Amino acid sequence: MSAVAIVGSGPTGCYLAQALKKSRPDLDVVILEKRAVPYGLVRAGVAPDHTGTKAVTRQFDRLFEREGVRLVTGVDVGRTVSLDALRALFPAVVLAVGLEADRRLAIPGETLPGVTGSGAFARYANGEDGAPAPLLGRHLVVVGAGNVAIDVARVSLKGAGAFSGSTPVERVTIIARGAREAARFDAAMLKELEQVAGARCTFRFDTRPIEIIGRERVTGVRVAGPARPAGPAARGRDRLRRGRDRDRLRARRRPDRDRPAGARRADPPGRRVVRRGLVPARAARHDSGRARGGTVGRGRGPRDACLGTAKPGYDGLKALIGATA
Amino acid sequence: MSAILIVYGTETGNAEMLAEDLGAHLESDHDVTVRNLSDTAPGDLVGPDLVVLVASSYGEGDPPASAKPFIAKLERDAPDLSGARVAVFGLGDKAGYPETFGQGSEKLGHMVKARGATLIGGHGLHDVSGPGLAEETAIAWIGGVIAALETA
Repeated sequence: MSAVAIVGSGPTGCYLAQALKKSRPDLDVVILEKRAVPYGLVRAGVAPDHTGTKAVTRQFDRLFEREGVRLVTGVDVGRTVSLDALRALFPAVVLAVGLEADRRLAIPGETLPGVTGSGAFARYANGEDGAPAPLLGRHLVVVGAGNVAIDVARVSLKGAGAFSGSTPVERVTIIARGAREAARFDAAMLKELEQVAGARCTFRFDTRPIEIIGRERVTGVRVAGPARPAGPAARGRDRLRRGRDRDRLRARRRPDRDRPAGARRADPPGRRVVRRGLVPARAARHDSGRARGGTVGRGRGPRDACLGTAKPGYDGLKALIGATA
Repeated sequence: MSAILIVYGTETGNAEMLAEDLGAHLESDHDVTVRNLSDTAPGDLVGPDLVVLVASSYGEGDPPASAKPFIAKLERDAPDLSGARVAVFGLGDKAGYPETFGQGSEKLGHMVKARGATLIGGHGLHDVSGPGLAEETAIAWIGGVIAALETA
């Protein structure tokens, strides 16, 4: 019998196991998971209030309940067992270890207490065992404007007081390097944020973080970008308003504010920063004696490196099945 | 014994799993085929005694990715689907998307109806953020659909 070991039980590993069992029911498929519980990103990365999205685990449960896929938890490949040892045991080994560490912004000040990666934020918000509580403040600055940034803004405003040792977040500023029309979030995500946050969340587009300021902890973020409009009326223009600005938010750009970029201190003290973006610990790839290289998963780029991409993206599957035949 | 075609539109596989569950439930009494909408031509809907269309909902109440090629063919070829009997079941997330809950499947139902298909039974819906399992909701619903088909 041919056997495949999949390292990682997140959506990529589980969808791959599902696809393998559909194409080749006779394959012996074993999933190895470092943590004590399966499902990786679905459990620890999908926002805790998105229970509908998390319901995908019902599909994955069936792999182990009905399809004969075996799950072995607590196996940290590279530590518990070497990759070479695995390859000696299985004709094909798939590394589907996903995104493990938060990407750095590579700007000064980002190691200060009060700077949290979105992955670490999501792991804590999802109650992952051992995940440290992020240090948040009254005003949270989120760098990046994809769906993960929207998740962070929504969850932090929803859960006021819920993060131990932190001041409840009262308002959020989302900083995006790109223009409004280039923003990566989905309209439905924005609508949901609107319902939770109302006017407590502000977007600043065409704005780039240059330095995170603070001595012992974060007190501000230095940014480059269009100047903030003066006066209360103008200040309201960037604010996320219920209904009114939603559709315009992505489509409109205001040339009157596109001044030459220059570094300026934009934010008064008391800020906390959440960074978005994750880096792959090891690239997901299939690895067997006969077929090497190639990437499994990742169909549509950074927009949604989540479930919708993971399922259909198995271009490497045929090569893998060929290698284990 | 009726010929039943179950087609599904899916993005993350939940509607596919539900379609397979419905197929397993019906196959002892009926001649059942389960197929992805991405591999289905609009004309395939005409012929079986009953077509069960299962779909999720994404974005702003839009049909899921695997339904898109089918929709494109519907729009391009404008086929005559009169004679097709279609029952529509949707998966939605009421907590996350209260305003567009279940609209992806509803839109698909409207599209085939506009091409002449007859919609059988009520629009079945399951809220994935609510209690109960989708297959329980769908199996209860399909009983009513089969009864409606037999009296029609």
